[in-house]
Amino acid sequence: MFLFALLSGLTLGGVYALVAMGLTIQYSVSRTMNLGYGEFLIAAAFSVFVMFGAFGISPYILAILVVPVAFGVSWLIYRVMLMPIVRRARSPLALEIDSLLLTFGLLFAIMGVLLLIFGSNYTNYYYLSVPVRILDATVALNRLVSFGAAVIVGAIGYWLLMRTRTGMVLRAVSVDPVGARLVGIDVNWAAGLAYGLGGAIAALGGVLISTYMTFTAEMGVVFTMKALIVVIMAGVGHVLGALIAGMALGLIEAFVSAYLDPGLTIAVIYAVFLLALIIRPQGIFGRVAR
Amino acid sequence: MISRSPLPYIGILAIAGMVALLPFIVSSFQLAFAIGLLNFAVLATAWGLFSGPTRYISLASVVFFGIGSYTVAVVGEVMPWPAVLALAALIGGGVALVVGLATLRLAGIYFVIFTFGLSEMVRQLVTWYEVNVTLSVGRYVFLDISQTQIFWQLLALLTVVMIGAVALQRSRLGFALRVIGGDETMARHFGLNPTFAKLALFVGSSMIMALAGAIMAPRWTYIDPAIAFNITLSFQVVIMGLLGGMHRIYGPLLGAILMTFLFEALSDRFPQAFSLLLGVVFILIVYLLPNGIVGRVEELIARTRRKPDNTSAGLIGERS
Amino acid sequence: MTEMIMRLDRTRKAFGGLVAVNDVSFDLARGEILGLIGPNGSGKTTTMNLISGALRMDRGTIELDGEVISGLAANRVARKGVARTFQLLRLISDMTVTENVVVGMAFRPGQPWNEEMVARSRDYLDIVGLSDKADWEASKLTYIDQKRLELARALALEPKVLLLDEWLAGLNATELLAGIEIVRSIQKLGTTIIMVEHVMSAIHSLCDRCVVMNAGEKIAEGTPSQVLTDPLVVEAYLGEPHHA
Repeated sequence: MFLFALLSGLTLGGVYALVAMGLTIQYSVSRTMNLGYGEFLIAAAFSVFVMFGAFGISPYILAILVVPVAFGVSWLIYRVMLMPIVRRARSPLALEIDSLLLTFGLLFAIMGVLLLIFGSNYTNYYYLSVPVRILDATVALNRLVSFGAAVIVGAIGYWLLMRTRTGMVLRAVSVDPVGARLVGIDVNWAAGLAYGLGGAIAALGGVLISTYMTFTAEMGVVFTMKALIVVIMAGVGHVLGALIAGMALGLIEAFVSAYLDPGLTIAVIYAVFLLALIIRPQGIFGRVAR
Repeated sequence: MISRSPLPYIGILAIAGMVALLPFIVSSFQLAFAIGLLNFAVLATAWGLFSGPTRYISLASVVFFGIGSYTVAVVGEVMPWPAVLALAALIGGGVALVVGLATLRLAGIYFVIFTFGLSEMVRQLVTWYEVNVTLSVGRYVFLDISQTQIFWQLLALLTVVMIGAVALQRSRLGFALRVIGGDETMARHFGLNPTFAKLALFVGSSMIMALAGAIMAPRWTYIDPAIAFNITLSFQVVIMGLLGGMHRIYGPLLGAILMTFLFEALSDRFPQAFSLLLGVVFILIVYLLPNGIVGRVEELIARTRRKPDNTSAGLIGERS
Repeated sequence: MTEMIMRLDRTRKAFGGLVAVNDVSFDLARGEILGLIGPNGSGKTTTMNLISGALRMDRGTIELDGEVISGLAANRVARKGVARTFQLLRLISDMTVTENVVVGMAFRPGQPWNEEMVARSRDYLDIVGLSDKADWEASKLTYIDQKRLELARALALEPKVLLLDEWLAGLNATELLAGIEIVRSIQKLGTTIIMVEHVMSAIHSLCDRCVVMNAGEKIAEGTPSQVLTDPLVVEAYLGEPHHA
């Protein structure tokens, strides 16, 4: 049981870490909190489900199509929906409130579209659900492949962010948007890029998770919430922290559901979140409170 | 700022007195609609009471509403009704106290995120308890409370909340909230404890929501965690507060009245697309009415008034 | 020996590796005006923030009337009788002048909540010369009038010690003279004042004593003419634009 929980925790945590990395990039660069983030994940899961059913193409190959589309849609959402709010905002606080409210509306709009098309039923499909034996435990192959994909993409993403010029631009804006503007960085361009990247990463997470998890149109909220908790616990904008905390969240969830009760995972995660807020509100890896 | 005029109180009581006669003239279908409207009016006003002056957007209205409903489902048949209501308010206030103590000393964003997932967590906890301890997910509420009685109770609650809101606005705490909303750092240096003021208001607002949930519970006959802690309700309450304008006491009330009619029309005609339409309406409000209808009206009034004033202001400017 | 109202004893505050206030001690006599001067970045404003409770200090103590106030939160310090003005004005722009003054009054210990406060706010506005604009919205005031309002609001707290953080900065010559008169009249009413200031003429004419800081340390203490001829002080100020 321990090994099983460990394996399913690691595979789940890999995807959580990836998804949280997307949100932390999005939030720290654009300074707008996206409550509709998880909807991208669920929407991607549904589109893969439909296309896999229709054409029988591997979900991992479909990701090559879904992820760029998600990037484009997410980028457009920033340019069309959020830019007017950013321009209008008189203070960072006003922007924060407006963007929260706006993306809260977005959440219901996207969820509404999904509900309209797919209803509120639980959905799943079978792909690579071949048991693989690792030591004493069996794990489905799709979980392992998804985990591998998450680790590879996460590592590449982290490397790009730390080593490339564009990555440095994004990090500069996340640390100090005013200063970044002074050295000639187009902050709105960077924020749009970050939004697109976040949407793309969320969509990839959705594709990976859909291969082994049952999902519904109303589940986006839960993923948004988990990603938010990871981002806050790690410290906003701390990418490596988000990766570690995301992994930890997956493990906690797996162990709680194995040893305690599968129905208590969110409650336990929330208890951890509450504790983190009380002890270290600036985040476990964060240096100063924002 | 400091006013002792009894006029607003008399006004509220007079309107409430007239509305109280409604059950004698309307059909039972219309009464059911009116109950829904009153419920939203109470929830939106309570929401605006806290989120308006503090700008801490609470996305957890349904948590306290659901707590109230569940209290009735659990102890409704074994305790006298007033005691049930008191207990509901106490539990709601207690939960708000814990949530507030953990989050209200931090920046608003932490509070929003915390309340965002709170209903999901509470729903899971209650489900777990019901499945493992009481061994059934749902509960039946059989109480001898008629629609008319529910209507009157909600109306009484709304009246008390409105009177309380006016009194609060005239009180030292109300003034303190304006100061905190204006500049929290400065407020601290003049003897105010912003965290305490926010906490007091959050607990009060949550107790009202729990009471509304308790009063509404007998309407359902059957409740389970998914019904009682449905996040859509939190969302509806925020829309109403925003639409009306949360910086005025009567803003959320106005929003609740308008939105209840809109919800009714939407859910009748497009039951499938309800979430989508809600989301779209909400986005439109954020763009077009950032300060709500009340805010827009005040802007228009200020603009028409400013025009004749412009000349005199110019004169003063020249003289000094 | 005059009676002490406030005593700073080896107060220290560091931000990371930078020691902003390094074991600074001084006494404040009841009724005096103490100038806290020094070049930019010498730790004056940080010292003020330690007194008012805006920042928590690393070690040392601050006593007010024999009672330790260091370690208290800013709101508690205010209720003990320490009021301040802000270098960057912090008025509530959508409130009237009177309401802004009531902010100073309303949360004092034992203050009843009644209309009398509105009447009393007039007294404080009189002191700073703003009573003719009592009903104006704060945002409509000129810069000097906003400064007056900041001061009236601080006075309304009826403080034992008043902290003025560059209250005279940014005023023109006429306004400066008026400002100096206002501060002097407040002293005559019995309020003890600590002022952080760069305007040397104001320091000369107002301050009974000065504490000079440089790089977080107290380098001199005495009457304005004493400290301003002190070689250490001259050295610290050399090349400073405000050198009088």
